[in-house]
Amino acid sequence: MDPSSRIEWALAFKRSAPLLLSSLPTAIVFGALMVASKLSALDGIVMAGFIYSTVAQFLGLHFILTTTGLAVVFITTVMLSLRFLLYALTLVDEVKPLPLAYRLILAFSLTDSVFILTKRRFNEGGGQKDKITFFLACTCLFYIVYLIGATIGVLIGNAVAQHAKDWGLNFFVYATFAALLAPYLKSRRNQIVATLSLVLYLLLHNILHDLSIVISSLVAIALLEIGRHLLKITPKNKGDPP
Amino acid sequence: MIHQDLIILVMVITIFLVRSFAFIFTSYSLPKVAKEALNLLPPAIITTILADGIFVPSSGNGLNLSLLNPFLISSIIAIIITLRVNNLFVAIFGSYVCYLVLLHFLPIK
Repeated sequence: MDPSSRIEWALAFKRSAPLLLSSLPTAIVFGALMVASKLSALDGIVMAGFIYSTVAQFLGLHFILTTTGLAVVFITTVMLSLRFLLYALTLVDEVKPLPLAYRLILAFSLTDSVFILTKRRFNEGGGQKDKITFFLACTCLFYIVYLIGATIGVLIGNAVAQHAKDWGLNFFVYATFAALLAPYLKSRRNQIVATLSLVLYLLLHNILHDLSIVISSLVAIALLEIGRHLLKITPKNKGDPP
Repeated sequence: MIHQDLIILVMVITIFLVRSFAFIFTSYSLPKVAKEALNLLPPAIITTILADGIFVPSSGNGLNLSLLNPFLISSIIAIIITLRVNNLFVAIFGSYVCYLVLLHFLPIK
């Protein structure tokens, strides 16, 4: 591996490490829950490996247990995955020159954590090739850890599932999101968009349910940008954490 | 058995298509205004995902807006720790410990 690639992998590992460590419990809980719900270990690993979204996986388990109709499964899955489409739209310019197969691999791996880390990397200085390496490194690291977690989960099975709530393992996901949000909140622009998103979410949730996550974010962004253009304010930076 | 496999298959294909849609049709680019606006996506969407986790009760209906929610308090603690210490490990595990403590004193959501 050439030196700059090695640097990017090391950087990816360093920045991903705390997020990897906290994605592990969630993956384990999912695997355990699958087995505890009397589904097979193989199903657990297949879902973790091919759906690769904790929210969707838990919902999938719910669908299986309640033998939900395929139309509902399809529509709900589309609604849940819309934010991944947004993540991809945000990064599409960066991956344009890459071959299709490479793009598909990167697209598949665009979870919340990978997106946030990668978006920040693309906004920094450095060569494009290095940033793509960083993206790929994050892709590999998160996926491997996630699969390991799911495998551990199906192996440990019932014991974990029963205690997951007592040990508060489900909190790890949200602790991670809160810790990821914090640096953004140092800038006024991000504080405003976060507040707007929160208010809109609280107002719209009872009407829009799962869609409220994406819609509230988009409307908040739109309101802020419209306000900014009306008041002719130029942003100092790209909205990244300082 | 068959229906279960179909559910998984539908979800796998759907998620993959939605995720890769933008990366497949790369010749269609967003206008510059939209691209600049999408720089705001991370703080906006992390907030709503966080809110979804904090305020939606296990029963899934309505919103739990109680301030004595261990999720809410611990998430705020996570944010504060990150802002002061700037170390994700400390923030995540520190707030997790707080969550465990609060879980014993406050009602579970």
